[in-house]
Amino acid sequence: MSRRISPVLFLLIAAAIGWGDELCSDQQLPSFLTGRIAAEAAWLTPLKETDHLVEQSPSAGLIISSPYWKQIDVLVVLRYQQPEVYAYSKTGERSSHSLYQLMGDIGLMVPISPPNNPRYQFRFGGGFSLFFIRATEEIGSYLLDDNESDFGNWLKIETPALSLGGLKMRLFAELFTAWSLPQRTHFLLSGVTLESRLW
Amino acid sequence: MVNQKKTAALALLLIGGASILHGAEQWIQAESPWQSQRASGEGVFGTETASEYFNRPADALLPWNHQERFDPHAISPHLFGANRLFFRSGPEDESTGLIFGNEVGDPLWQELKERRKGANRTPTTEAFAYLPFNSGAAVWGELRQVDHWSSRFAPDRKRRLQPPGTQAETVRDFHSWFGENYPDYSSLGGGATFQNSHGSAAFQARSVWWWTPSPGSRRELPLLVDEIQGQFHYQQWGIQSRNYHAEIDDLSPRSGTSLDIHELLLYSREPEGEELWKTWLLFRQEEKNGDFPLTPEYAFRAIMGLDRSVSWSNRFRFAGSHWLGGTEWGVRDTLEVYQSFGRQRLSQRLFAELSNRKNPLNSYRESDESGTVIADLTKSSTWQHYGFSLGWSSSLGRFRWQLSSTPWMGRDLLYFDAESYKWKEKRWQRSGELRVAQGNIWGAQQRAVLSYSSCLCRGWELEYLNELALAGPWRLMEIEPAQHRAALRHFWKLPSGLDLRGTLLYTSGATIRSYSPEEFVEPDHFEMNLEIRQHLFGNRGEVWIALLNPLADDLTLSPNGADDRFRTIAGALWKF
Repeated sequence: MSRRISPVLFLLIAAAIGWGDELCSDQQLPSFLTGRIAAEAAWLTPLKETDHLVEQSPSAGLIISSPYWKQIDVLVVLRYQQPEVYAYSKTGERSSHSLYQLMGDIGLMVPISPPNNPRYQFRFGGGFSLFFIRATEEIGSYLLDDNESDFGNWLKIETPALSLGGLKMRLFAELFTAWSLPQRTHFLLSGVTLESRLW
Repeated sequence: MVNQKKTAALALLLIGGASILHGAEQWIQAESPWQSQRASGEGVFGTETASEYFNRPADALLPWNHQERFDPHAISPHLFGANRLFFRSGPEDESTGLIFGNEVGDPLWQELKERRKGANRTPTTEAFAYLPFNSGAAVWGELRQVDHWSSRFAPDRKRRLQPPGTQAETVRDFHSWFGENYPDYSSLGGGATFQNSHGSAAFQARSVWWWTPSPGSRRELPLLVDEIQGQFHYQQWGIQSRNYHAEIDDLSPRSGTSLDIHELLLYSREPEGEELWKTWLLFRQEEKNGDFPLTPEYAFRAIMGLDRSVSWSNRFRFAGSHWLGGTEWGVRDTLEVYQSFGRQRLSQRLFAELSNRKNPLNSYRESDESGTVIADLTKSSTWQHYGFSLGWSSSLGRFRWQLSSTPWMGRDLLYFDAESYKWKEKRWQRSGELRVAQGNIWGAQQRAVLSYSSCLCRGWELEYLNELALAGPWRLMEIEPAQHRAALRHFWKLPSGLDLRGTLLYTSGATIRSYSPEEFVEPDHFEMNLEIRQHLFGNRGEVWIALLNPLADDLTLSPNGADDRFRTIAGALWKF
């Protein structure tokens, strides 16, 4: 169904952009005059498709962000998890294994709350992810003991920042979709970030 | 802007044959220039593997696979009858960076749920560096490996590298620079260049693991190709030496046999500007070692060429390419006339192409293991191609449009007459020879383009292309173009340095013949592509992601083709 609708959507979006407001001026490339670094501690929760096959797991990450354009920030994230997974052999025996997962994200965060005061400002964002996984040991006849990778996308919402000296603390929830087949795979990541000025 | 560039690109196409890379800055970036051309809706269709395509640019008209055409204007490297863009002179990109892509849909965690090994998806990986020095020198290196489209052929390729009667573990686990996917090509190379105000010098070496269908039977050859090139320019004069050693590298009795190609090209370079006066002389020596399946018709040959293009008073333009080598020859001439009345512009174009070879660099006899010739591509016979094009373009406000019609006629065209087929290693292998399709073949192409741009940074373009196979021996031709093709192209350059580029393409399906016992009809389908590109630090840096054909649907687009899938490619580049 969505495949049939996609061309129509594309046409509508292209037409809307073509007719939209002028948003053309000389190119002002983002200069990245300031940069921030954040440590992320979070909890990875597999959703529906794999929730009984992949255990929840702690997650650690590093975020580098910089003002991109007006109030929009760009961020690059590197993240690591090591969830326990359950695999079934051909005879139906269940076994438990450990899986490394490395995630790389890139995307934009936009402030969304109505009052123009950073203290109450929620932020919303999205972007693309690259997932890289490998089992720590051979799992039956699965491919997972080899290097496997795929792209995906993410959507994230962040609470207003709490200032702690020079640091800023935020809570966040992030929904990931890995473009796997035969079904997409979804994960929820929720946690806390602690941010500091880098340059 | 887009329209002008595109028209310019198409004009160059017509004038220069298939010099298709001129519009490249407008294209969506994909695995290779061919795939970029396809993603931009410029005519490539029928992907077979990462290095093989059925290619017929919209304006190429002749019902042949244009990847295999000789382009006398470009005289670019030709290996096994086709222009292989990964054997280029110089680096693909004068920047340093990384590109990573994947056929979307790797099972990942879904394997746990499915309780079995899922259908694997394969990556594309490229790393390259270009380091210029103040002295005018630069060094570069690149590793480019496209594993996309390889999963269909990987098991058979693996089998060809496995000693009979042995366990799978003893398989020679490589035919690429890294990984285990048996990709179509895996190329590692590098070089150095030096230039000053008088001229330049360059040297490069490259080694490519490459599975390529042979030009005759289409049997896949497992090759390791070593390349060494050197070139030297002084003012407008240039000399280039290209050397290839292509060796069969599997466990068959023919393993270790090879073909050596040595080329020396002397040429005058194109000066800047409209006027073009270019001459070249190509010496080509081919030497077969052992029982290599392809036997060149000539061990040595010399071909000379002359290109000339000139325009008068902005109303007339002549362009021609001519070549001669022994008893073989070809001419390709175009005369264009323009008239402008205010916003209206009329154009007439007359073109003629005559030759007695289909491709002088693809004259091989292919033999099987017993030495019997199974494919003969050495036929020499005069063929002709004439056409006339009438075009009208105009504009109103921010809209521009362009209509044209091009009837054409071909006479005594050459075609591959396949006498028998064999299904082996998941491919159709054929045997036969080049023959003359006696008589006249008629076709016509109609084209309508409507474009809108609100400024230099935003616009869209709608193109419709209609092709008619009117009369004559069409049933013998390799490619009968799709009757209807449409493209919607869109770009938006935001002030933050973010470029969005998208295409939505429709094709009603072309027919490909003489590659499989039944004619292959490409399914009619939509394609959609999107590129997001961010320029950084005064255009010195770039990061980009391209979503290539999410509508792919695992269609097979050519007789021996692998499944066409949604691919995502991301890259980061920096210019030192």
